Amino acid sequence: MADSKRLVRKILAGNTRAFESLIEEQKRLVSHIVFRMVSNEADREEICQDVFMKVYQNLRGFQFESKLSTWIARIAYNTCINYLEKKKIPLFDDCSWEEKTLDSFPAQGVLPDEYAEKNDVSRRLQTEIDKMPIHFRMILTLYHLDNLSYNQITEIMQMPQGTVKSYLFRARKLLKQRLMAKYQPEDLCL
Amino acid sequence: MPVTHLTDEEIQEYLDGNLSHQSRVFTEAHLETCEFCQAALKQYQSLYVGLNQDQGFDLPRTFAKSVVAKLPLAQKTKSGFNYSDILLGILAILITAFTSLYYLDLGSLGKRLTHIPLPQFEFVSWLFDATKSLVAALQANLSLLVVGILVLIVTGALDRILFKPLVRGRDHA
Repeated sequence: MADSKRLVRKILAGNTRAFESLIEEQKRLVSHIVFRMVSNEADREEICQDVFMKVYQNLRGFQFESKLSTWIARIAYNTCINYLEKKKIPLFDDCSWEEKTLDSFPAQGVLPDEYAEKNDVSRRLQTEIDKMPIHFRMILTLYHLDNLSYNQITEIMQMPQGTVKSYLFRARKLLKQRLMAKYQPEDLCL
Repeated sequence: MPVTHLTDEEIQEYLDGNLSHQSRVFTEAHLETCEFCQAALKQYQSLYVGLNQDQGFDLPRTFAKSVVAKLPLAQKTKSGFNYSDILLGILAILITAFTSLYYLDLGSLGKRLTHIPLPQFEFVSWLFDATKSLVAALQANLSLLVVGILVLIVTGALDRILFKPLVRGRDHA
């Protein structure tokens, strides 16, 4: 926290190098959020830039009530939500998603046969994750990839902790079921 | 007697390390004997490995620099004064004050007011006299030098404090 305060003070004093190092520190987290939520590759980098511009513009108002990374992640999450709303991309209702059959989801340009050829477990997993509702994807990413706690995810997504936990369990269970239903265990090494 | 298997939630909690000691002991004891739950645990373990792998959502190496390049200069400088600006400003004010004391003959004004027993005024008179003595001791006409330095410092301070943020900031807005 002390390091974050020092870094923020430097940025507010006009030190652009300090801002550069903040970007270097946080770009992994921001890119995870943006890349998970926005499927259009052409827009992703621009959205990441937009996130850091917002961070710069609003840094003076940051009161250290949460971790700096959590605050930045929340800006990234909200920026993506705004983008999706602007593009009229629906945020799936998670309940209806669970009731849908596997075949009702588009394969997003990658056919199951291609999977077999590639034998790439990780890619199969990522493709299945990309078909999930945005909230499920986000929670899986923040929890597993960025190692954030339930409290931090709650702050970022502005959801009750119980909901975050429930979404995480359901997402993992469904992901396992879908992979097992679609592929042989030996193909997936599951 | 029907076997009760672990639920998906219990297996996930176990892998997350969130079970209480008692529940963990119970879960591990069950897993030792139940092949069905062992298989489920193995599937979840593999899933966790996949989920924990970074998928390389990499931004270009030049990303940070490109963001900084987009910042308007007005924003870069509006953050307030640097320490050097503040020091320069204080120095300019001090030199202006001392030069004013030197060139404006405040001694007569001070004499008029000597009946007012203000210790500060005695100090100002003393400072004035001390400055004059110092200049006399140096036996040099420092007025030109002092004025030159004063003009340079005040101009520099005005540029750094006022004109740079205003003029250059506006250019980049």
